[in-house]
Amino acid sequence: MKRRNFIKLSLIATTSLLVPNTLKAETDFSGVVFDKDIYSANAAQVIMIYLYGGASQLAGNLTNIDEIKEKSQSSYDIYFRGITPTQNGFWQEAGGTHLEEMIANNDLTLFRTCYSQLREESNNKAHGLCTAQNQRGSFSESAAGVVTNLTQILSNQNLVNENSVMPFITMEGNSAFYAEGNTTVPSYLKAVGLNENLDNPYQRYVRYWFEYTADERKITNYNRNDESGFDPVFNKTMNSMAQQHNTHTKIKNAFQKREPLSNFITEIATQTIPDLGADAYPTNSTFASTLASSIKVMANNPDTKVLTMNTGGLGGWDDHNEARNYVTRCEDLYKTLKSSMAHLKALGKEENISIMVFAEFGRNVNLNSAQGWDHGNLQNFLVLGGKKYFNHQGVVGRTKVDSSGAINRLYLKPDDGSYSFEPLSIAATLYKVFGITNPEILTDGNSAVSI
Amino acid sequence: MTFIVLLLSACSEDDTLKDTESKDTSSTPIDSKYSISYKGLSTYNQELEFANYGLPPLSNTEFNALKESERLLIADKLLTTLFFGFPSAILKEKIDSGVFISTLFQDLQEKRTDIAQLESEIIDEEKYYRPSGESESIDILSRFYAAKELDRYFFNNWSAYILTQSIMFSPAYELDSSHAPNIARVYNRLVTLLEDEAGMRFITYIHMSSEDNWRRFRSPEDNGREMLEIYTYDANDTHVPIAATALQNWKLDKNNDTLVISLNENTQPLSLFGTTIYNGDDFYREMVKSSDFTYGVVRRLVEFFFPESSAEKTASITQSIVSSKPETWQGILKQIIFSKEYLLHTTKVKSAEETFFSFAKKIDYKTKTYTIFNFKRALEKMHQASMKYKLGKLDPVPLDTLSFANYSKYIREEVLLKYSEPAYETHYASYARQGWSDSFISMNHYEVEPFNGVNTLHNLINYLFNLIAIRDVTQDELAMFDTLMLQERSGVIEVADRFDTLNNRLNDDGIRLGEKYSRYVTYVVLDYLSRLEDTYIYKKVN
Repeated sequence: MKRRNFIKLSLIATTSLLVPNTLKAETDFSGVVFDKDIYSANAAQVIMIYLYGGASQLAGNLTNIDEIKEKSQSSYDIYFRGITPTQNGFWQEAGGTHLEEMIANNDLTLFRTCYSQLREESNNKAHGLCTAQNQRGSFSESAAGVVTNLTQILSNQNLVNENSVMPFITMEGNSAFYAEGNTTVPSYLKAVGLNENLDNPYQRYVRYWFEYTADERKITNYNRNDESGFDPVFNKTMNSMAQQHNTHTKIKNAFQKREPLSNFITEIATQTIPDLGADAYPTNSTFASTLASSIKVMANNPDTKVLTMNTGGLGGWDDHNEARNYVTRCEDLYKTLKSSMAHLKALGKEENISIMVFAEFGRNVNLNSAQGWDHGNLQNFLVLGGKKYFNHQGVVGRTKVDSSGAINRLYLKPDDGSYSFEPLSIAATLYKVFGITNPEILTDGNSAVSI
Repeated sequence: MTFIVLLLSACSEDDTLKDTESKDTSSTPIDSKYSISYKGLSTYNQELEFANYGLPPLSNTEFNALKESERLLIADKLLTTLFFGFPSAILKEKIDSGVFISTLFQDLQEKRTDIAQLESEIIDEEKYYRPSGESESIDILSRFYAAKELDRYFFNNWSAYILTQSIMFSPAYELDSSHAPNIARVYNRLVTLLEDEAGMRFITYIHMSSEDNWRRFRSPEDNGREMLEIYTYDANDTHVPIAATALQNWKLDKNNDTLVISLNENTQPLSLFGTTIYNGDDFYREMVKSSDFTYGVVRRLVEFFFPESSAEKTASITQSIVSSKPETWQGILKQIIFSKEYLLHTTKVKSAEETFFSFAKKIDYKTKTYTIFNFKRALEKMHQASMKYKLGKLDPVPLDTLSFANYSKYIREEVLLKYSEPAYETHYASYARQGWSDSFISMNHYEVEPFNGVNTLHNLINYLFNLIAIRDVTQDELAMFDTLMLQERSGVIEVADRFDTLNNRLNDDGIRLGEKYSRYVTYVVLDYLSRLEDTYIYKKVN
C-alpha cells in the first residue's frame, strides 16, 4: 500500500465514527495464507502485555541521553539524581540490569524503533486512537481486534473449536484486542476473563433444599455448599431454560462459560509456582501475580493461544509529571519479566510461550516543567521467550534526537538507515507466529517485525 | 447563587464579576441571575423546555397508545435508568393514570425531599458502614438507596453521578495524586451547582480550573491535551503546545498534590477556538464557550447512554440534541432519557447501580450496616467502580466473562436470594436484616384464587417475572417450574406441600405456613431470573 493511502487510513480513524455502519464489511479472510506446518511447529502461545498510558522508551534506550540532557527544558541529572547507562544503553536504575541479564541469556529482543511516521504526519498522539489502532492492527476503527481476527482464522482452520478450552484469555477485561467490528464471533471463540488471584466468581453458591427432588434429598449432605454436596438436577434445568431465552450475545456467552470456567479455575488454582530462587517474582505485586498466574494457566493449558494483560498494580505509564515513579515502575516491570522467563524455563515452556510488551506510543523526551514527558511516537517493543519461533537478536534499532527547537517538542526518531517499523507490525508479528504467512493483508500493509 | 459567587471570588484578580456582570433589571419575571456572565461565559442558564427538545421525547399520548406490556417496559426503563423503582401496585397506578410521562417529568422539577433528614440518615454509622477513605463513595451510593422521593434533588444527584462516571468529571481515585476527598469535592460541587441552575459551560469551566481536575491531568501538556480531546474531541497534536503554553504557569505540586498557579503567565497571543487566548483561564473559558464544546459533551453522554448504537445513529442522536442548543446538563440528560429513541428503540445493558437501586425499591430491600460498603467493593470487581477510573467508565458495563460473573453473582447472591427476617428489622448489624421483605410478595400484589393453588402459584410466578424481568412468564418456563412445584396425588395435580402458598396452617411461631412457602417459590423464581438476560438489560419496544 502506498504511503499516501496509509496516511489517509490514519486520518480515517479520527472520523470513522461518522461512517455509516452499512459501509463497513466483515473482515475478509479469503486472502490469508495459512501454513499449518508453521502453526504446528511453533505450537505458539503468546502473552501480550500492554503498557497503557504510553511508556517512555528511555528505560531501554539511553543512547541519546547526552543530547537529550542538553536540549531538555528541565534537568535530567538534577531531577533523577543520576542516570546510569548500562553496557547496552539501558537505564540501570530503571530495570536496566534485568534487561541486560535477559539479553545475555538470549531471552529477549528489544526493538528500539517502533515508530509511527504516519501518526506523526497526521498529528495523532491520542491515547484512545493509538490504542484502538495498535490493538486492532489497523488504522480503521471499525476493524476487528487482532485477537478476534486470529480466533476467526484459527477457527476456519479448525485449530480451535467448540472443544478448545479457553483458547483466548483476558486478564484485563475488555479491550480493543477483542473488538468484534462487524464480525460475528461464536461463543467458544470469545475470550474469557480471569484475574491475578484466579478468583472464582463463576462458582455459584446457595443450594436450597426445596430445589431438590425427594430422591435427591435422600442423599447425605446433598445441599451442602462444598464438595460433599451437589447441585440439584433442577439447577441444570434452569440453566438450560434460561439459555433458551437468552439472546444477548455477550450475556449468553458469559452464562454459557460460567460452569466450565469454574471447573477450570478450580483445577488450575491448585498448581504451584516452582522455586525460582534469586529470580523469584517480586512479592506484594499485583502485576507479578497476574503474570505468574498467566504463565500457570498457559503452561497447564496448551489450548490457550493468546492471553492479554495490562500492568495493573504497577501504575499507569502516562508520565506527564513527576516521572521519578517511572524509574521504580520499570525496575518492577523488568524484574518481573525476568522472573517470568525463569518461570517459563522451570516449566520447560520457554520454547513455545512468548511474551510481547508494548504500548500505544512512547514519549517525548523533553523533561517538561512538571518533570514528566508528553506523548511521543517512538516506543520500545520487547519480545521474550518463544525460542522455537523467535531468533533473539538482543537490541535492534538505532535512534536520533529530533528537535524543532520549539518548547517541549523533543523526540526520538529512528536513525538514518536504522531498521524501524510501524506499531501495526506488532499485530502482524502475532499473526505470523500462528502460521499466517502474509499478515500484512490484515495490518494495512505492515509486515511482521524481523525476528 | 451564593456558592457560585464565592467560587468566582476565589479566582485570580481579573476573574471578578465586577466589570463583566450585567444584571437584568427589567421587570420580567425571569430571575436576573440568568443574565450574569463572565467575559461572555454565562453563569446560570434556564433549563430547556420539554417542547424544545431536538431529540423527540415520548409523549403521554404515545405512551398511552402502547400495549400494557410495552408501557410497563418503558416505565420500568425510565425509572431504572434513574436508579429508582416502585412496588408493582404503585407503578401500575402511575402507568394507568394516563399522564405517566408528564407527571414524572414534573416530579423531577419539584423539590420534595427533606434534605436535612436524608443527609443525616446516610451518615448514621449504625446503618451505613463508612470507613475512612471510602465514606465519600459510600455516602453517594447510600443516598440513592435511602432517598424516598424521585424529585429534583434526586435528579440532580443522579445527574452528578452520571457525569462523574463519565470521562468528563471522573474524580479518578485510582490515581496516586487523587484522593477520596476529591470524590466528594467533585460530586458535591456538581450537585450544588446543578441545584443553583448553573449552566453546563460554567460548571465545566469551574471543574477544568479546579485542583481536582489537575490531580487527574497533571502537567500543562497533559491537561491541555486531555481537555481538548475530552470536551471537544480535538485530537490534533499541533494544538497541544498552544494549550500547554496557555497553561505554562499551572502546576500540580507533587509533595502536596496542590494546584499552584504562578505569576509567570504567558503574554504572547495564541490562536485557538477561533479566538485569541493568553492564559489558562482564557483557555478553559473559551473552550467551554465554543460550539465544539456543545458537540463534544453531548456526544460523550450519547455514547454513555447508547453504547450499542451504530456510529451513524450516535452521530444522528448527537446532532438532534445539539440542534436544541442545550445550555444545561439537565437539559441534555432529560432529553436523552425521555426520548423516543432511548425509551422505544434502544437495547442496553443495565449498570449495576441501575439494577441494584431499582430492585431495592421494587422488592423493599433492606440493607445491613455493611451492604452499601460491600456493594461499593463489588462494583470494583465488576469493573464498574464508581468514580475510580482516570477516563471514567468508557465501557459503562463491561461484559467480559469475569466482570459479568461478578455482576450476576452479586445480584443473585446479595440481592435476589437474600431475605430480610422481620425479626431483625432494627438489627442493622445482623446478616439477617439484608434482603427483600415479605411486603414484596404479599398477596395483594397478585391474584389469589383461594380454591386453586396451582393458579395462585402461577400468578405469583408471573408477578415476579413482571417485576424483575419485565415480561410475562412463558409457557415453557411455567412448565419447568411445574416440574418442581407441582405433584400428582391420587391422580390429581396439585401444588407440592413446600410450595403451597395457600397453606393456612400456622407454625410454632404463629406464622401462616403459606407465607413461608411463598418465600420458597420466590427464591426459586428469583434464582431462575438471576440467570436470565432480562434481569440485566433494557429492551426496546418492537
